[in-house]
Amino acid sequence: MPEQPDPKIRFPLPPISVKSAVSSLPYVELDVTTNFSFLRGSSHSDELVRRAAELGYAAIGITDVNSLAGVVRAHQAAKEAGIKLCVGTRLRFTDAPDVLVWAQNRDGYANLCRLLTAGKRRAEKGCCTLALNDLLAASGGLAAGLASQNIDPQNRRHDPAVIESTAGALKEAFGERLSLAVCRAFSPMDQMVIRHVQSIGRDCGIPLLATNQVHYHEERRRMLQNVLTCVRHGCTIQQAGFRLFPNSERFLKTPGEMHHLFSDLPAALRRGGDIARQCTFTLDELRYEYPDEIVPPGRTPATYLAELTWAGAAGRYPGGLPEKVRRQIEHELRLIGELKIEPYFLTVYDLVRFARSRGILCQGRGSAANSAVCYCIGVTSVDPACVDLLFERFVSRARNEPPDIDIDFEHERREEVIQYVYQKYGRQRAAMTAEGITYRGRSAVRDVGKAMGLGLDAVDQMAKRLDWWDRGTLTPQKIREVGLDPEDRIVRLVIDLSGELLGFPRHLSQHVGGLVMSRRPLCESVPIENASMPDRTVIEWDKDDIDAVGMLKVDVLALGMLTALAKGMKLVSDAQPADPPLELHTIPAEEADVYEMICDADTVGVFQIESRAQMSMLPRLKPREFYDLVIEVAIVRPGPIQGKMVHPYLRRREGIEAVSFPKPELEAVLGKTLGVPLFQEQAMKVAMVAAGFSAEEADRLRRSMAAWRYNGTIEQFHRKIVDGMIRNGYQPSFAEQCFEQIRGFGEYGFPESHAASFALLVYASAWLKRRHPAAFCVAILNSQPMGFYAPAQLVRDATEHGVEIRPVDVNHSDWDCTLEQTAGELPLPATSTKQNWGCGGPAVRLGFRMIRGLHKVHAERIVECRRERGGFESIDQLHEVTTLPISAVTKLAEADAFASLARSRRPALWDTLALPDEIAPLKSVAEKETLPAPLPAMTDGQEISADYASIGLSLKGHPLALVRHQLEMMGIIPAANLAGTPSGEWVKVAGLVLVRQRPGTASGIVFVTLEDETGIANLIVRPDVYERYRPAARHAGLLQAEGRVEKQGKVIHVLAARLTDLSWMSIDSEVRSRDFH
Amino acid sequence: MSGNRQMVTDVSPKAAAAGARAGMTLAQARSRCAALIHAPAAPADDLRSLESLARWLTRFSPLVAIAPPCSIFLDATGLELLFGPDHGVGRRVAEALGRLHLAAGVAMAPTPGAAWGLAAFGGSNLRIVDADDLSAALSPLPPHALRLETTTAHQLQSLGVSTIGLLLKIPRSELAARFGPAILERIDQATGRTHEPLNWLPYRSPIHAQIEFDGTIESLEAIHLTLRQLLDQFAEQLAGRGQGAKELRVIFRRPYAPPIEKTIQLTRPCRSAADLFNLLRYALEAVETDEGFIAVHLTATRTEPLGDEQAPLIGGEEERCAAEVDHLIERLRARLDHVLEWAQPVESHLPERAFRWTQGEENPDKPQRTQRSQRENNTEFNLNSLSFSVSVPSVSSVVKSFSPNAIGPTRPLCLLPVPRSLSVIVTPSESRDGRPVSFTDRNQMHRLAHIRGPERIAGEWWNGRWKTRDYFDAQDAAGNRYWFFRVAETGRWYLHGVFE
Repeated sequence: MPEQPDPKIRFPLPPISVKSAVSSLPYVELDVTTNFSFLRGSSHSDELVRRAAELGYAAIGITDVNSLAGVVRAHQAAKEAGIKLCVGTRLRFTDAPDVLVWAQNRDGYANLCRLLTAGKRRAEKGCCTLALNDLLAASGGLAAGLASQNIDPQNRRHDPAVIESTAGALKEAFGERLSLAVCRAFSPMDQMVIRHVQSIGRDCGIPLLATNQVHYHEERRRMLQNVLTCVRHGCTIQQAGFRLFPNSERFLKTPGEMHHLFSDLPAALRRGGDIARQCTFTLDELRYEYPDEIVPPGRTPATYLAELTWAGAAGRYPGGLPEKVRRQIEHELRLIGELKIEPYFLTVYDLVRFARSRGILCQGRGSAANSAVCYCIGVTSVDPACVDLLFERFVSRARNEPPDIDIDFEHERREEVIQYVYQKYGRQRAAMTAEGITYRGRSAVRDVGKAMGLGLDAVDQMAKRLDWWDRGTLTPQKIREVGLDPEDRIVRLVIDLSGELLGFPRHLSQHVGGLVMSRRPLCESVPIENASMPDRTVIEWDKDDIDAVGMLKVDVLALGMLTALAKGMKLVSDAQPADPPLELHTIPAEEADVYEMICDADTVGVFQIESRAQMSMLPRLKPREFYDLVIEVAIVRPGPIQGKMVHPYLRRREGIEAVSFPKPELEAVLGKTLGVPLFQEQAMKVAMVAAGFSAEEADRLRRSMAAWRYNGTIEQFHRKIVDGMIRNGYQPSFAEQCFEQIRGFGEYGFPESHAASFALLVYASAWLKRRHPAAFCVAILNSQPMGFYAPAQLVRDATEHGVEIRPVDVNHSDWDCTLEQTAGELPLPATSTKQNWGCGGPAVRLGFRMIRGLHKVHAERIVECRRERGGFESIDQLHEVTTLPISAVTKLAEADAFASLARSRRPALWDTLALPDEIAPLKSVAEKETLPAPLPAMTDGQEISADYASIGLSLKGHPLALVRHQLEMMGIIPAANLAGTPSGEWVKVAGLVLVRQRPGTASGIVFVTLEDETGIANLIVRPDVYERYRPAARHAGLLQAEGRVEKQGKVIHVLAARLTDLSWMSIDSEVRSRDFH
Repeated sequence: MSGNRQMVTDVSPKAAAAGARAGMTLAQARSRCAALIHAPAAPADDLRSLESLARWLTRFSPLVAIAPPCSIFLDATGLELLFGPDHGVGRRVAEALGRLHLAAGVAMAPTPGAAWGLAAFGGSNLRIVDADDLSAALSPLPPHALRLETTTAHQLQSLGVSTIGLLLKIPRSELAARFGPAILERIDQATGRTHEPLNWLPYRSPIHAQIEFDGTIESLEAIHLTLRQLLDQFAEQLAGRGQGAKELRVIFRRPYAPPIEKTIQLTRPCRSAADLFNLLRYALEAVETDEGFIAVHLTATRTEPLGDEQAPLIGGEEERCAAEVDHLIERLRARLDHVLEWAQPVESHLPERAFRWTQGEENPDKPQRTQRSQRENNTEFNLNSLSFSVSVPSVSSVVKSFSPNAIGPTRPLCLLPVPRSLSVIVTPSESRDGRPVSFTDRNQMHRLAHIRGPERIAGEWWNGRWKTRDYFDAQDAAGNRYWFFRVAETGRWYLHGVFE
């Protein structure tokens, strides 16, 4: 990628002193600190490498502080730029000056990785503790350079004795491979130090090495480097003083300048070239070796995978293998064989098999997961016959990378799978991948603003207001709009510097689920450090790095819905012991009732399609078959919304607009989505078919869409796509529109393969909700926290479908919610407008887990004692038998869980407080006194709010029912009446705030869902209204809204014009809303 | 502030109306009330101001007790004699607090417990309750008003016991079984069943010494003698309280003229009569003594705790140096009437920004003073203006800079107030980075014998300074050493200092 000339060098710079022909003089820079030395270097490693190549350097060595985190990126950039890279590290010791080391060969690299791993494992996360002896013991294959000048400017005291003794020790270990690194950065002591180091070199026979202690690729980045230094020290730039470098010399100078600087030390200049020549190691040598225990002895990976696939295919298609699928399998196996990635599929298969054997529900997703092979070996349950597969997208010949498969596991049991991997491969050979946490808009503005000395309030204000600017251009006009002065120097500096800081790595964190496995110890390939979680170790590289060097990685992710589905399917299977147990792929497919329910947007609790946006889309999209769900999942995403593809698609689907294709060749690509590109795959295919991209280019396009860091690079494809399409006979306007869409995907594209896997779970959860509403409710309640809705809404939804919900009770409840048999059929609640398919089914008994603050062990002790001794007769007896602490019994009393003992909340609490602290063995069960007269009975309102306080919901009534009379007098209508209100009418509604949601795509509009005793009112709050009524909009638990009714088909909104906080109505503030911002 | 989160500990009524509550994080509170003004919580300061308010209230009653965080008790027994019947003292206290703009609840009751409850929950400004009305006044109050533990109060609330009246109807044994004996004690303290001892503040007289003469005294010797005597008494009082004077006021009263008042600031607390006498003597130098004095008053207006100092036998050199400097500052200040500033090192690569003038009470704090060891300081006496500047090279800095292992940047002791333009001849070079050979300063040519440098210092871009300087440390043939620089952008030369 060519370096883009920066058009705006905004600040005057000192003149470059020597202008020499660029490449006539050889120079190698071996001391380069990138931004992976967090808060030290102020250039990306690829910027440095490209700049070095431009200046005609023969080679460049990257030496981050105790880290190799940036070398993969440098390696890729070096390959592209055609410059040699020396992989190295600046080692910081507790007892000696810094030493630069570079790997000469694979053994040296392994030594370096092992050394860093040892240092990191013995320190806390993010740190590295090394002593000089550690290096002396592992010097093989490494070249070393003793750094006589510190890179911490405030600590530049030069101690000749220490340098001399360290040089002596290193000389013994490294011999000819040792140099003394010196740098001339115009510091006051340069001359003295270099003269002194020269004398050491003469005495001990160690050659000097000229470096420039590079911290940034061009001089302009000094400012950012200064700011980062301030962030590192937690001070402002005014206070930073001697912690900053005194000048801006530490950039990549031209070879001519370096020769001029070191004209008296020509040997020191040559030394760099010598070292670079001896460092023959490249990261390409880390060619991945797959673990071999996944193949049974006597078989090759290829034969084993083929065997598993065909056997699995027979099981998946009992009625005979369709010809299309057979051809697909053969094609895929051939491609897999060519790329020799069978072990990858076998590793994934091994994890899935383990999960199955433990009864852990899992589902593969994305990338190669939706291949026919994966379907056959049981990684996914999406029938490849249903979905268009672009296998090349994931496994292409062009990309010499392993495929990418994510596997979702039940979120409560994922740890078992991770532990299995550790156990199978050992900690030496398995670790989690890192995730580089980078600076984003807010964090960048915040850190830069603080370093520039702005007050905390101003910084927060700026970060909040300038949140959206990270990809637009920021005109003075816009700056003024947010109330800042574009002429102000500090404001401008903060904005410019934050812009430069975007995308800088800030620290390494653990990736959510990426697991790396290898045949030889991992610590010989990459440094490993401790994670913040105990018993976890993390490698230094993130998933892109791992892809680039070709290591094996599987994403082991956690998904709450899988937990809920597993629990729900088990409940159903337990209730019907005669039938074979329910599994994802045995759920009856394509049932019309289920789609009927989905079309009605009756989807509270259903995976993915329970959000406001999805719910309002459902009645318009009217999914009738599986592929419609795939589209539904993918369409309500920022990508299609920003690419303005939703409405064309809906119009075509409703038949308002004719389905047409700009050119017939696109019909094959866009046919299934009515000519509108909705998936990432389609965007790529359009680029290939219409703009003439090769598969490899399309892949680069995909990567630039995915990688946030390269957010500028997608613009490079702009001309290429548009020109290509015009050349192929497309209208320029259409071409531009296509590019807009592709860029939209760049924001948050959603691949079809992910959508297909998700759609399967959508159908499965919808099926469970429709057919077994009680089991569905129990399963979700037992998997909390997950999804959009709080237990109160899930319970209410179940009730409205006729499911009987029973309260928590010490004599009936388990820890989890459970199903109980019902005697007769309860009628639907009068207010319900929903279908009654839950009537007559089992009832739901709420479990102890609903009680806030009750420990699981205590609940389990109650259940256990009940099983041994039968039910409890009194609170005293319960306390005596279970020996629970009084605090736990109090929690039960507050939850009103003693109803079966005929003690309501207050009497129970009164009794509980009198329980003895320790159980006296011979204590007789005292006569129960009645409630002393002065304790007043609770009102309905108090009961309900106490219910909410303790278990987050109430079965006794809805808080708003209590104040309905008052609300009526205020002219507020029940939510249920909205259905009968004509569109455009001005109404007042009020309710508990269930959800506040501000989708990134809705340009600041906030969706608020209100609930009253009759149903739900959906508010649309525009930003200006939100700001005007901010305290109410942001915090009120009970909210009144006035505005016009808007109707579109079955979807009803209230366009709020005025909001009022009704919390004073004292229904109690414990009723909390879930806010998604 | 707790951990990294800033928690709200208390809110003003206005902030509470806007939705801010104690116990929120600052961010939460601010999201409710954008115009929120906040200050860091300082419980120690709060306690101090509570105590000083209590001391101030001793003007109403000799017996005053504080109950942190925010309550003060006054014993009003027998005060009718002073403030009139009908509990005039209560009204007077409420009025006095009102004049101080303190929003305080004031109540008078037969027991401290009842008074507290009425003041905290009684509503209107002043509540006065007699023994006869006590239970009637208490019973509508919430149980909180009995100063109960938070958990007990919460439990009572969830049991529906919303008033003291309801609480008192519950049998005592039942209460004790559930909430422990503490609740009964609080009830009894409020109802007067038991006596509640309070921890009254001890009374403290001001530290003061004075003498009145029979006639006028004019002789300086006599005044000195008197001052010595006064200071002896004074030091004794200070020693008795374990305090040292931080500021003292001396008033000389004259027969036919207004009194002369002098305030002496001390840099560190002191109670040595000899030291204080020296300071007073300097202060007296500027006082007109012709008319004579009829009285001298000496008051310690600020004191700080002071232990019995013992100088360490070995080491403590820096501390001794610092003390020397402080004494010097005190003496100069007493003589020169507060117009004193001294140089303070500032971390900056730019030489002219590497120090700052400090004045008066902006006393250098200790850690900064020890940092001084890294660099020498300018010394500049400037007697012809009002500002008297002094900076002191501490002994330790000299020691450090001669230490053989550590080499720091060298700087001349004195900088020119404004760099002086020079013309310099440099070695021929392709561009503007030739080394200087000689320079001409005020028509005098200096041929350079030894040159060190350049030391490159870039501008403080954050202050809008972009130019880069190359400094040279050079010696001319005559052995004089100069410090001059070239501005990289313009190629101009300036002399910035001379090594002495």
